[in-house]
Amino acid sequence: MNESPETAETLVIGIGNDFRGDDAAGLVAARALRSRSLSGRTSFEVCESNGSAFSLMDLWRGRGRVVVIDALDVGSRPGGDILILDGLQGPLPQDAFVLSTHAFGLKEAIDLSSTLSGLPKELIIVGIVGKQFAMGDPLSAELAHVVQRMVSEWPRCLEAYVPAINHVHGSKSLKENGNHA
Amino acid sequence: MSDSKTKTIKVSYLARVEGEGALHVRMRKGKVEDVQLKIFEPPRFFEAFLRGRNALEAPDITARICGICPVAYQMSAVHAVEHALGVTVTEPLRDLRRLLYCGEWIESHTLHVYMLHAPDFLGFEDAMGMAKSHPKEVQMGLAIKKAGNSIVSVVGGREVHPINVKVGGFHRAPRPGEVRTLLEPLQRALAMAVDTVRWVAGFSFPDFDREPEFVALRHPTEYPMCDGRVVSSEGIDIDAVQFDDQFAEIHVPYTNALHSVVKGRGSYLTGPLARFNLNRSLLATTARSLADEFLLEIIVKSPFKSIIIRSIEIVHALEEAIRIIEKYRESPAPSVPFTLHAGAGAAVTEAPRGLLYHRYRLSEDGTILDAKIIPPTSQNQKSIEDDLRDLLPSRAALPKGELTHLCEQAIRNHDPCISCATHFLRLEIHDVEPSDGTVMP
Repeated sequence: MNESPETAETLVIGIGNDFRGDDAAGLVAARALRSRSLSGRTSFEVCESNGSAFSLMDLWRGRGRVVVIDALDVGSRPGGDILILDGLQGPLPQDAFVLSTHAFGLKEAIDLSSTLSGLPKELIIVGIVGKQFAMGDPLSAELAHVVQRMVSEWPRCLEAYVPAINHVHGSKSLKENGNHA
Repeated sequence: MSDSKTKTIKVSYLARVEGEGALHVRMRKGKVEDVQLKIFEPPRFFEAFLRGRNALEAPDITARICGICPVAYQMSAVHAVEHALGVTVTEPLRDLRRLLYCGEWIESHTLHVYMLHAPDFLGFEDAMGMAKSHPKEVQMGLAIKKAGNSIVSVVGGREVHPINVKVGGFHRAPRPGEVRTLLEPLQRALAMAVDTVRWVAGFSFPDFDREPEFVALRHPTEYPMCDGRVVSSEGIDIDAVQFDDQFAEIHVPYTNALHSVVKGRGSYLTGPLARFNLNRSLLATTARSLADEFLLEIIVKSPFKSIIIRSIEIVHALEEAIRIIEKYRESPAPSVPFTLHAGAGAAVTEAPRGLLYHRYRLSEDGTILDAKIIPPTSQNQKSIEDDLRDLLPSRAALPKGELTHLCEQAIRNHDPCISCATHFLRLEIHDVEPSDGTVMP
């Protein structure tokens, strides 16, 4: 990536479900980033999504730079790891983004947008590894803390790690690299 | 498969989406010995969540049960609470609710037709594969769904989990100017939806008919959505408050979802096929004309043709939405006044995939003492098993892959939630050692 990921043209999409535990991470991050943006400390557009493929495709079609924040379910990674993926360098991990509504989620939105020439120019995916996704559970304290730190370091946390490799095991992790220890 | 062998078709459980499902079919000597459709639906938890909450919260709490059908849950909840409180919502607010429901039908049906069901008929693994060969059709689906999203966004307050519905009406009635912005996209979507009907009517359909007891709402003058009596092809004709007298939920050991049955008879089917067969004459003009052109049979018995009916219902919902918008006038107040008091109420509305029953009992201050929710998924579960039981014997010799795919397709005929879950399950077919010792290759 050649420019800072934080510009007025950047669209940040937080994906998740407030009622499914750590799946709320993307939404919580989006709300916190919106507050920062409204307070004038940053300048970019923020929206929330349940992650349905069609909605995502609508949101990012024709956009320059899009940053998606979503919870990840990767059993092999510790909860709270943050993985940065380049959405245009697919394929994404098959089963990592598992909690989007009705299984037509982020991965499918990228695949379908690619086929239909509807991808943005840049697509950065911030995956936050969660551990509990039961219906009715709140966001865990561990992930809430990680999200808070990530937002406080925004957008520096992205600049340091984009682009990355699109394999979960090979992706760069902020936590591993010390940014979110 | 030879008659001497036993075959087990197993579609493994995967906890990923609302309406999680698994399938287990056991066949011996060409006969189906056992069919178990396992569903793990969340509404049971929600019934517990609701106890002790104020009745005014029920529409927004229950809307979270389903990411695809939040309006259906809001509509059934709000009507049931209003019934308990003796509240009547009249025009133009009633029409506004119907408009909102149209938006959800359009969204949900379009997702199912294009993303879940059409790939089955065209031989693709999924919608992504289909999009490579049929980009024009998929773009059409996206545009139709977007028109539905816009309705939900304008009337419901936002696209996902709308928040504008309240007991007594709406928090805010949209301005006529806002509603009119929907008109042009909806008119474009209507033309595309008509093309969709023509497209799916040209698919090849497996030769399979079954005539379950069809159960749907019936309204004297409208294709049913928000209200009406519960009727069936076997003569049921009841008000929503009599639902528990006519239908029973039974526990089956292998699934968390209770099976719904007609008392004294057994399984029944709700959803597009039932709705259409019981209300065909009430479709809007273009939708009815398309039905007459492509569905010549008086009663549609092929569950595989539900894709045609869903497409016709998209046309109907678009026509109905346009009709409502063209005559829309803003209500003097966004809701009617009421007071909380003790009472009990029930309502049934037509979610895109079938009847959705809510019943509440309230205390003097409006606290929910007891709640009951029966989603269409659990109502259709037993009928879906019956479909598989009747479908498979004549196709027992099919290769394992084809047979498994046919099972999935048969499930997808009825319910998008289950369809999603099974579509993405890791499929496993275990050929178990039969009684004669032969092991399937």
